[in-house]
Amino acid sequence: MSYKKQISLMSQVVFSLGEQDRSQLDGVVLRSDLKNMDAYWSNLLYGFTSKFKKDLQGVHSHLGDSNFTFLVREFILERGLVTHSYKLNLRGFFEFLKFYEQTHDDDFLISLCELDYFWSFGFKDHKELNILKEVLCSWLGEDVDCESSLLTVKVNDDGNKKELSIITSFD
Amino acid sequence: MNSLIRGVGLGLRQPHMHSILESKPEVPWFEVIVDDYIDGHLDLKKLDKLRKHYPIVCHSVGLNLGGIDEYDTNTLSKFKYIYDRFSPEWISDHLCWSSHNGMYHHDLMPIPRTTEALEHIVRRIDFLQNFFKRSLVIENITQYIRFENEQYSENEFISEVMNRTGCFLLLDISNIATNMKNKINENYWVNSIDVSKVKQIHLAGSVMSDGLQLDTHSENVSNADTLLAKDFITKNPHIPVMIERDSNLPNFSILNQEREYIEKIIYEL
Repeated sequence: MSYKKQISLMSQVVFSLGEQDRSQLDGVVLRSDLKNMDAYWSNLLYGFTSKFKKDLQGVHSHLGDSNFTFLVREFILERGLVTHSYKLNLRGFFEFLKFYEQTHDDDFLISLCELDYFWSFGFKDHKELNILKEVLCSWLGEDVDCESSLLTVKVNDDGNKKELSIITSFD
Repeated sequence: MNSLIRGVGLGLRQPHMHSILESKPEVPWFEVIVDDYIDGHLDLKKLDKLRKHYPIVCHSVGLNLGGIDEYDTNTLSKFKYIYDRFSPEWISDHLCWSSHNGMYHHDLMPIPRTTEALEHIVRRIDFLQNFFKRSLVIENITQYIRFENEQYSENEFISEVMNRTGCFLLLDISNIATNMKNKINENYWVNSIDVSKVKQIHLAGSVMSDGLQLDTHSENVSNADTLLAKDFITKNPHIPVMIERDSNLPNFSILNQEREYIEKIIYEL
């Protein structure tokens, strides 16, 4: 089998996250090592899940660990990782939530993800974000009765201290 | 021999940047992951500040030396821009493939060690060295599988790549030890390599999970790996060592304490 074919098969099996039969690699990988393919899909799924958890803390907290991991898995299976850029993959996850059949009509979740992304990276590209007060309350972990008013927020980051502030409120 | 890269250095990690720029700790040199700067979300001006105080080498995970996809010269130009701007003592990446057919694994994928693969990789490294106008330093990886019908052992394959391309070696002692623990390679081959080709040593911590030792860079370097490095450095004292830590990241002062501890053991300070 050609080198290209060997690489292609391995890539396909890893990106299936264990759903494709690893015996497809029979004749490529030593049979005794086929079980170790788990390490590659585990690195892919849990590597991204743990990084996404740090940058999407609002979404992770809202969904819980297993639902969050499920959505990252669905994202990788449906979209793949089409860029070397972590930032663009994170943005891709946000875009995925807007189209995925189980989340596309969950405006609260999508807004929460948008706020997470804004906090992590988006504030460098866009100075402000409009967000519902109830989404901000959830993101801040505040257990208060938040009405559905619109806020504009921005992130102040001097390289040492980072904080989110409300610049306008439309009550 | 006149390199500024000496002793035990550290991998630069973004959560530590502020602390390093504020306190300018006594670290002999840093290894900078270039991929982190390619998509523009990290601040190059901070790296300028760091570079004024410390020698650096550049490392990467995305050059895809063993990959099939054609190189995108736009992306490579971004790498070259970083190399030219920061003048690292050398540039390195892994002897592996990391993306295929436009899909990025964000992992170090193993290469079947065949003549066909060797010739392919030699062509890719030749291309990159010409593009960057610099020699590459290639790193041996941890791998969890072996391939059928391989024609070279790991050290034979690496030596052949170096002989044909003139590139150098970043010898990851922890990766060799991990491959041995996983019975992927039972030969501790550092003594059979041409040491004049070795630019740098890597050390990193790993964890055992489901019967496999995983190269997670999430723990302190084991004493066993440190002693392997000490043995190598005793025979080759000019080769610098670097500690890799990527997850479960402690604050900078704790990481630097580990660096000092390893430095004392290796150099018997």
